[in-house]
Amino acid sequence: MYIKRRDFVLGVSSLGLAGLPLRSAAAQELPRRYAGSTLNVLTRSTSAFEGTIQVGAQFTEATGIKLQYTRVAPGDQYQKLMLDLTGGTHSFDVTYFVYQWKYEIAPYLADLSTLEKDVPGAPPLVLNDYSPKLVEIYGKVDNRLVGLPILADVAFILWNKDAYKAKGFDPEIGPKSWQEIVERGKKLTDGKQFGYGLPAGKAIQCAVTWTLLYYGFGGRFFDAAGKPDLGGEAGIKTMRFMANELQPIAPPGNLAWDYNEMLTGFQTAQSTQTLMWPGGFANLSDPTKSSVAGRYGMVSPPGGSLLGGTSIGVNAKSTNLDAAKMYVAWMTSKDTVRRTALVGTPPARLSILQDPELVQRFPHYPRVLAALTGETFGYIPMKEAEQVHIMMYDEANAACAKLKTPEQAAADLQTKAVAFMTRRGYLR
Amino acid sequence: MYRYRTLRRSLVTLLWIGVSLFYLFPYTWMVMTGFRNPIDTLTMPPRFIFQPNLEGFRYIFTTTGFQHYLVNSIIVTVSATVLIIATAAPAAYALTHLKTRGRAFLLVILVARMVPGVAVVIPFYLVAAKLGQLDTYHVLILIFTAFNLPFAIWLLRSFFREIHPELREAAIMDGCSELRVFGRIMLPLAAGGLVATGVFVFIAAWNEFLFALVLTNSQAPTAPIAILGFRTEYGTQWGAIGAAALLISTPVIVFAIVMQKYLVRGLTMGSIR
Repeated sequence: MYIKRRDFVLGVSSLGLAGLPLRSAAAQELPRRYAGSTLNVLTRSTSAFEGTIQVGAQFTEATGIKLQYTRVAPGDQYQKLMLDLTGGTHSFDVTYFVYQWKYEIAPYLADLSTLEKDVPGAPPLVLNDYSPKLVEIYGKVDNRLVGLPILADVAFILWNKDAYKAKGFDPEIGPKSWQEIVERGKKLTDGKQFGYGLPAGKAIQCAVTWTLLYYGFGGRFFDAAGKPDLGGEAGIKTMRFMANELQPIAPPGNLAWDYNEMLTGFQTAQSTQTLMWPGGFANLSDPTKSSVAGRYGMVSPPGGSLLGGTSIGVNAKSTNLDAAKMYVAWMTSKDTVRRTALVGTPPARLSILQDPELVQRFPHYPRVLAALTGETFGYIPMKEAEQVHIMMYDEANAACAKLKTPEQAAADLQTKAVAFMTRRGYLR
Repeated sequence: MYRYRTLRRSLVTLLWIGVSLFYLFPYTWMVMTGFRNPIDTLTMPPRFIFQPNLEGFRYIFTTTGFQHYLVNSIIVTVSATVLIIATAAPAAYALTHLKTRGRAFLLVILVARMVPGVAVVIPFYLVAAKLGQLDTYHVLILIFTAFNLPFAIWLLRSFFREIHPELREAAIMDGCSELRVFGRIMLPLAAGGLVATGVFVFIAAWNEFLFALVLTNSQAPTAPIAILGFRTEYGTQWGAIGAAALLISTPVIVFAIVMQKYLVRGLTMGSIR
């Protein structure tokens, strides 16, 4: 897990060395018929995407296509993208997006399933190099392929090995059930150290926790008739577990926590177990940023893993449509993904997750691979999913803050979700 | 008696030191964050003694292209400030010394100041998009000017009111044109007010966030937008935030210190009339 600075420098250096032949190869392989055009790419300011920007220079060199990046904070990308698409501005030829938005933005995105035919000379998509579930969840809407996975993320439970050892637990064996997480968490809670870094703020990681628990307790988002089923037995159990079991062993202030606080809590050894995404491992493994670097374990959450991650798509109204498609094909090609993985972008391609050199450098890859090909599920699959996420974290937060009973919170969540979907015409 | 006075003076000094430390603490903490490893920022209890490094500065300049954001901020802010002063000065002069229906106009322009930016940002976005002006310097310059102009006119009006109308009348009687009176007599006399107003609008434009966030993409984003990007879904770049915040705040602080006497004058203008 521990990435030494020297390894990182070596990695980047080897990337540079390896880049020379690759660059000339790319220059030979990619057509230059779009040379002189400019692609506007909307991406996030996340460090995990820096690699995708770095390699862009090679694409420009090979094709003559200039790339302009708009890097926005993750919290602002949704508004920026929706405003651009729905306002008819279409400033961006290519956009990164999280798959929760795909139902809303799909009408504005180009179908990539015929990309190889549309853009002769573009790198092949090789879709069988992804987990089928990943392609389905990240990019497909009504049999159209509107996005390709560019960053694969899947939730893990982490634990602090030093804290485990100090309390007599085997530091190499993680918890196997949510109940075990709580039992260990109670013993680990001691003074300024807490058993579980529960993000109970009104933010997405609270909804993530709710979703993980809900699936773990056998719940499913919709019933057979397609009606939301969020307040039933599994829903009540989830709210009770968050409010009565996890909240008492969480650090103070967690009622306002989201991802960054969750990460900081674990980095500083304040919380000894937590939910985490591989995108955060670079921070956790860097000793200048983390006091648990190299001293934490990880396991898939009990009941299955929730898929996070990011896709890349092409604006159907782009004035450089084929050039944009070629860029997306190149950015998700095996060679490029390998290079971006070397500088810290979590790859989505199965072959890259099994690459021996990369596995040596990023030892968590096999676990990500197992999670991606194993029991995984996505966020609630519906248009305006973010609105239901807001309901989830509002209600879970209220239950954890003891403003409502877990039963009331579960019932309110169900009522709100049904009312919202009915109002929007998603339910009859 | 002497001992009592000494004790009293010492207590007052201590009190002021305490107040200064209290007010300076956030800035000091920000500066330290820029030079610390993130782990030193996060450690509890806080660590005040640490090995300083320039990692945060290296990151923002080599990885995120922060210099591009800074240059944009300078271009937009300086242009907006010049434009505001150039427009507000004659307006304030006319409203003070010429026979105009100034009062109604003054109230009308205040409306622009009262409307919250968030209420008009989407219409502005749509208009700018239709005109093909999104992500350009001039759209930001125009909007910053429009929003700060009322404040500048009101502030400058206070300065022009301090100048006796007899001066203008005498100059007119001596054959000066209105433009000449304004340029040769009134402006030099109101120079302090122009600087004070300039400082205020410079600070407001330099720190503006909302319009820059919505109306810019890759070409014209300003420095405050860059800072927001250092808090991501995979962690907060504490060193980068501290370094960028230091670089963004330094010009404003230096500017404010240099122009301190005008700033205080601007703040107290009208209070003793």
